[in-house]
Amino acid sequence: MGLATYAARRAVTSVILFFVSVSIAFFIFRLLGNPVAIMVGPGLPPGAAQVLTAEFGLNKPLWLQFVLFWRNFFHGNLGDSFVYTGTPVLQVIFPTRFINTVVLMGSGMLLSYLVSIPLGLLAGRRYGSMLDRGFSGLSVVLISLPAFWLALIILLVLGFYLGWIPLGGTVTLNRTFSSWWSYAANYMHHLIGPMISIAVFFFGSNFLITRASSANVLRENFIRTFEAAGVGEGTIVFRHGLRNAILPELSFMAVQMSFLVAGAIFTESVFSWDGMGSLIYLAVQNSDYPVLQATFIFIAIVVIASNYIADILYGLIDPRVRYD
Amino acid sequence: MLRSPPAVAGFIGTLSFTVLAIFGPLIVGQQQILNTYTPFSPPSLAHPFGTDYAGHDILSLLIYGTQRSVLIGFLAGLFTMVIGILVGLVAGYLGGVLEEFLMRVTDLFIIMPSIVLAIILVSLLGPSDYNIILAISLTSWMSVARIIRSDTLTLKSRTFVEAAKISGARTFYVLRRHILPNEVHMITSNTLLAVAGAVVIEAGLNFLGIGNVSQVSWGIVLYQAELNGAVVTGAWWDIVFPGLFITLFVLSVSLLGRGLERLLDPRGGVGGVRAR
Amino acid sequence: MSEGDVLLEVRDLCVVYESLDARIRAVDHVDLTLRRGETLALVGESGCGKSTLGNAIIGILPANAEVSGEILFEGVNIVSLPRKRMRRIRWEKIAMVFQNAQNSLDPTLRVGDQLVEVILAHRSIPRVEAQRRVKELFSLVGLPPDYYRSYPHELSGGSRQRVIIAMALLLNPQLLIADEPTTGLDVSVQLQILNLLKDIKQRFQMSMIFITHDIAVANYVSDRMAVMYAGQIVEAAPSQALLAKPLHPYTIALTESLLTLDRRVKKQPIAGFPPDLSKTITGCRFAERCRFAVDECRREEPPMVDVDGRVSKCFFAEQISNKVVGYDYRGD
Repeated sequence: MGLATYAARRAVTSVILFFVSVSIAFFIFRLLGNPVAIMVGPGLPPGAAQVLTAEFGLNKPLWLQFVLFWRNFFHGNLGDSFVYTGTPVLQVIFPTRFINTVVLMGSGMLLSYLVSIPLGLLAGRRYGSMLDRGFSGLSVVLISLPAFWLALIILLVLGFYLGWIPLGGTVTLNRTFSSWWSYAANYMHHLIGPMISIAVFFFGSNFLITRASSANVLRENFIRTFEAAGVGEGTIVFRHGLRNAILPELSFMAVQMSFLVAGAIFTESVFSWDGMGSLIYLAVQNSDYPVLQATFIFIAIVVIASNYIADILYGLIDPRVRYD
Repeated sequence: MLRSPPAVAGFIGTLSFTVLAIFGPLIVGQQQILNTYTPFSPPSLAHPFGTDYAGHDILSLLIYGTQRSVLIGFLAGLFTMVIGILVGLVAGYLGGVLEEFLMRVTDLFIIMPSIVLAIILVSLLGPSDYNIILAISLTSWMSVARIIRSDTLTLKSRTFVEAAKISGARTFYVLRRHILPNEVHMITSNTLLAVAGAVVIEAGLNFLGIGNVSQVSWGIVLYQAELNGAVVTGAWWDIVFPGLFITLFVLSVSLLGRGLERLLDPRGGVGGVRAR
Repeated sequence: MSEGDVLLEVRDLCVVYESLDARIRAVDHVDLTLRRGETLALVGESGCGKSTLGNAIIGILPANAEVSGEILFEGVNIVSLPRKRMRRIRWEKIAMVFQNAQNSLDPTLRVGDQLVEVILAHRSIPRVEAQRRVKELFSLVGLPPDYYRSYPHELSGGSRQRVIIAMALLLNPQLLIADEPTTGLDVSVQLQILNLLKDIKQRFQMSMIFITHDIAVANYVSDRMAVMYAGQIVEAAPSQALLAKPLHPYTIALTESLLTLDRRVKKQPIAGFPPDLSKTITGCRFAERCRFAVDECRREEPPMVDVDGRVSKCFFAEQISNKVVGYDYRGD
């Protein structure tokens, strides 16, 4: 079976996973709470409440509600936010909050990889050296830190004491920007703190995974071949070590995504970063269930998609993978 | 274990936190955490960890709150293990359609963002400690199930288990007599890791203000600190010390867990990569 | 034999592996001479130090190995060479063919690209030129050119070994060390690989050190053999002569196991085990397993003795040569 067939088959499983997770979101909210209170909410005018009740069939049998839920889902209707009255939840998420989260997570993870992977490769190569023991010890401490505490400390040090970064937000509020450039600069300035938090939060696990796989790979016979052949240390560690060490990192993707979501919620909440993580925080504070449900569904879709991509990438990097 | 300094440190730390958890409320007392002094005063002899926004002594709050944090973490870790071991044992030992089904469910739970699920569960079910324990256990059992299943699969094919099965031993007997004793090392260390993880999640949920905020726990102290502007007033002690409690607890328990895993492994210990 | 004929000379080489609880003397005071154009086979049981000796010559011993003595390559002692200069000697002058093991090539890269990488590590030439060189060598070792784009796991064991041989030839080395190059291959493939090695050795006018546990294979490829036992060379002689008339009891035992192979009888391993190299050994190292051993053998280490221009590390070398002691010695 070729890569294309494999990709197609994995796509089918991913779609099934998607249907099941969205259905779970439906049932959690219908079965664990009072559906009318949950979907219609307290702050709405009586008229709007009636419209929503009819739209989601909240007085109808559960199976019919389930059908209606899916129909609405495919029309892009996941209800209206209680807090941003009358705003469809999809518009609360898209596009600003979604983009903000992607920018933060993307840059934070990138920064983390840029530091942790080279160090992990070197530590694996010099297993048991001072460098290895030092960073391994640091990583064990780092993975024990709660994400929100780390974010608070970074905010306190870089923001309050050193004054290098703003104390929160995505851009400075109530300020008009003369050009897109000054807007971007302001945005980047706000990004520094949460980005560093994410990077530090993920350093420990990334380092330890890379180090372990690097130590294993660099013990393989082919490394000795290339050493004997006079190939430089840099090529050995970064070309052969990296390619082979990245594979376990990819297969760790599903678990990593779960951490990433947690990191997003806590870091964004601490830094008031206008993303999906802080949206969850706000939604919880205000019992904004439609937003909570939609965010859950949305994150599930992103996680399923990333796992799918990671699986395909794995096949592209490792030619040994048999698709059966 | 005695030859491994990290494991010894973990043991001492875990022991200290256990003592604090049992006797904390006796040492500090209800009245002492209600007393108020000057708000946001920095660490001093009278208040080694300073005071919070309302003037509570932070050291007293943390000692008093240890019981609640550790107890929630311990119970949540325990239930996580119970679910994980049950799923893993049944899937690994019985196999067949049941295994297929259970592992699909495990995959599904791994895919779903567990922290969001936990947040939703607590906010729908209500902010009680029981619901927090329930939410944590329901969203963290997956890795345990996977580990136990793969180990059970290996053990199942070993001679002594085969022999017991052929000689007509009942399933329950084989599990209790032959499988579980060989997994004690993994179960012990994973329980400790599960407790450590549960304490972090519990602190996180409380930090977000989802839990019962009228009581004292490590996460609640941080929640109150953030809510009442400890960062913008520069009251670092209100943030640093509660976090240190959480971090030290997690570090001690997980170091002990790793140490015990090596000590108890009947197959001579994994010990990571051996030197050549 | 003039001085210019000598390519490699090993003098009094010792390699000790240090670990937390032991010092293992893997190579113990070894002397060895290799002439230009000559194939020398190092023969011995596994663990006798032959691979360590090979690895020491090309300089890829693990960090816990302690080396003393001299390895003179074209008159230069390469034991004490700085890392950087040694890197230039490796593969440009001395190349190695490793045992056909799993993962002897990077599983995630195309084999052609891995060979190109080796060339580019030594020569600053355009990539296409390196690729051309690789394809040239592929045809030389009998691989179709489209194997260039294959991944290691797609090749058979024999083809993979041909790739490894092509890799060794990339930079026209003067010395090729082949460490058990046919282990793990089918018997018919083994012969092909041996013939290929003999062929390219002629064609490239190289010298070769061939490491094997199989004295028949050694005889097939080599001009001269050195038999190793427990970290020492116990006998060295031209291959034909050595096989026809072994002068050391250990060699006799090795040739006997060869005879049983010819009769299609199950190969008889030599009784007993080699000594523990982490302990100090007094006397002859083979004494415990030797049928000729007398008390003296266990007390004193025998010297290397010259017999008819050959060497043997046995008190009885001369007697064995004159058939005073022999196969039926016991029966007397």
